[in-house]
Amino acid sequence: MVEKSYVVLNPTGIHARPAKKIVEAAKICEGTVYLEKGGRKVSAKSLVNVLSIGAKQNDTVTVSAEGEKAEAAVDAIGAVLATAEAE
Amino acid sequence: MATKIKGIAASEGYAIGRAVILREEVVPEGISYIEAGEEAAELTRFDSAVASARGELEALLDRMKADGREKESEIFEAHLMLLEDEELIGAAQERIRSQRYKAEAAMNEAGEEVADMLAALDDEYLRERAADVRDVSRRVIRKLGNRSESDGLQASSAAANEKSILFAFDLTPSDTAQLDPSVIGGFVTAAGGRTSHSAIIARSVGIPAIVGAGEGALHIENGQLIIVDGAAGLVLVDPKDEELARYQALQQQAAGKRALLDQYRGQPSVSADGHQVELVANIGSVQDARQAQELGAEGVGLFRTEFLYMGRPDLPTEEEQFKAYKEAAEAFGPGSPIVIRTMDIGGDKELPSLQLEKEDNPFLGYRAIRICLDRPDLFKTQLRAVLRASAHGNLKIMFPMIATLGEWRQATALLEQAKQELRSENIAFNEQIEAGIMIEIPAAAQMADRFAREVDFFSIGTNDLVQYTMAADRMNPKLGYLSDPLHPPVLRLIDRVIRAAHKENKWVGMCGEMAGTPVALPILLGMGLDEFSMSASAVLPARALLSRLHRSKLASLSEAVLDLDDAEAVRSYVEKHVPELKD
Repeated sequence: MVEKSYVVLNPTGIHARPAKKIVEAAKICEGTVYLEKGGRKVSAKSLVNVLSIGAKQNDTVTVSAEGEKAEAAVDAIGAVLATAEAE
Repeated sequence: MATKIKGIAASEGYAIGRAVILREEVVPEGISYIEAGEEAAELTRFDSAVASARGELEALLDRMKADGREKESEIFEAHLMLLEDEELIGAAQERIRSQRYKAEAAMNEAGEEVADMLAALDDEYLRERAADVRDVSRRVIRKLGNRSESDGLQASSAAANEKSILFAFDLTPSDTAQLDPSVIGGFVTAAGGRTSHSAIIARSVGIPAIVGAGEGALHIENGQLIIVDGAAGLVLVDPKDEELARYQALQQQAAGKRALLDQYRGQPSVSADGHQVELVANIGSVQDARQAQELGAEGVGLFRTEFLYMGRPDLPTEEEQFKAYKEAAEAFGPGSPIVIRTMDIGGDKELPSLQLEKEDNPFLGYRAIRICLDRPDLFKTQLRAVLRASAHGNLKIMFPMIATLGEWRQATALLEQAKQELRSENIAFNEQIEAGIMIEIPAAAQMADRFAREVDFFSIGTNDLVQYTMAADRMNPKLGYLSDPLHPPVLRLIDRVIRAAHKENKWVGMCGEMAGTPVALPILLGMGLDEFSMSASAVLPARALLSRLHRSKLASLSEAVLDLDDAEAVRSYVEKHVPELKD
């Protein structure tokens, strides 16, 4: 299993656009990909779930994945989380 | 043949036009099921509806991108993603598979569940995404019925120079908001109630509407001539010529009146001789607040907070209440008075989460402040929420059903405790927040002089004051002749309360139905009432009437009516002596 933690840099948190990119990135991995924030762990392959953790700027989000291309998926999600792109 | 359908009057006015049937989103309340063994077929039907919804979205996206509408196209890209979402589509499939839901019901329920979850998040942006989820699930439901988007509202604009009357099972708020009043004369829905969002929007847009018209509304044919009587809640199908002529005349009259009233919007509430009062609204929700603001109210004289507690299994949290009070204040802007009445449960309003015992005389029983003082935990949550919201607007707090000075003092002691808590937690609130009581029990009216020394204001709740003074259950239709605020014993109490308050330089409002009744206005103005709180739609007519009245001439009238025999005598006396009522 691959697990890494990131700090959300986007000033508006994980809103529609980054959330969409996270789901796309999660789908790189064939297996399971999770986001965890404040004790809540959700599948990163669901836009609804990614939105529902309500991550804001400076929140720490832990990404974990298991299966083929797990590492690539985690890194790609990390890149989205650690981008300060404004909407 | 002329027929009539009776529904609920949702938005006043008269409309005449041709029927346009909107066969949309027939998601009946409740859940329909499939038979055992049909699961696989139903899943296939569902999946192909999802696929076809996807096709529709992709085509829409292509068009948008070709037009360079990048920003909008992103919204629909997210919609596409939702169409693959395990939590949404997967959850719907699961309902079909293991609970044998019909596909429409499965999609509807899964969509609502996700939308509700997002709506509950502490982030305004994400809360708004709930609408996207609903939009997506509706698109799928539409596809399940083999309908495409353009079958909907757009098609209804077809009728040429004649206005259309829209018929639908139900309309969503966004459907209603999209209606173009220059094309749509009115609408009729089979479902819904007076407070459904579509009804509220119809009122603010000014489209006559009838809701809850039942099955009958679904058997109309496209192109039938229709009259919508939004005042009576009546739909006339294929009316006779004389009915048509009568309604055309009514329509013209109403248009004239509206134009006349419109000039009073945003104006101060002043009598012809320059005496200013406050005309504010009774509300039960944030939506009501927004609507009241649009209808010309200067603020809120009664926020019936119990509606936040009703229709749910649990109690609203401090945070939820804080948001509701803050948003109501924001609907009016800084400075506008917002009187928050602490919850008035009991009487005719039950609350499942409190499990109150059934009483023989609920109106004389365990209700309102009596519950709150007995359950300080419950009360303090609300007090803290009101205090916190007072940092965001001119909020005032009002305790209902006060009978004794002791109750008032207990309530203020709890308010002081709540303030102390907030101070120690460094949470902002208005230290100068006004606190007052409702005068609805004759005991409090009798002791008004004593209360006036301690409170910041009174608000007279005439509905209960009348029933307690006349010993007449207001729910009993046989006692209608007693349930009249114009009875001199009630007027004497009101007069006494206003005098007592003014002696201590405190202001007095009224938040019962009486405050918005034209015939009562001259009496109350003469007595010196400072604030009139009424249903929002009564505000502009009241302001118009006020502008024609001379307060200085009314003092003698207000005194004279106290000496009359009964409500009937008062009514005819006022009608005779105040010619302005007829204008």
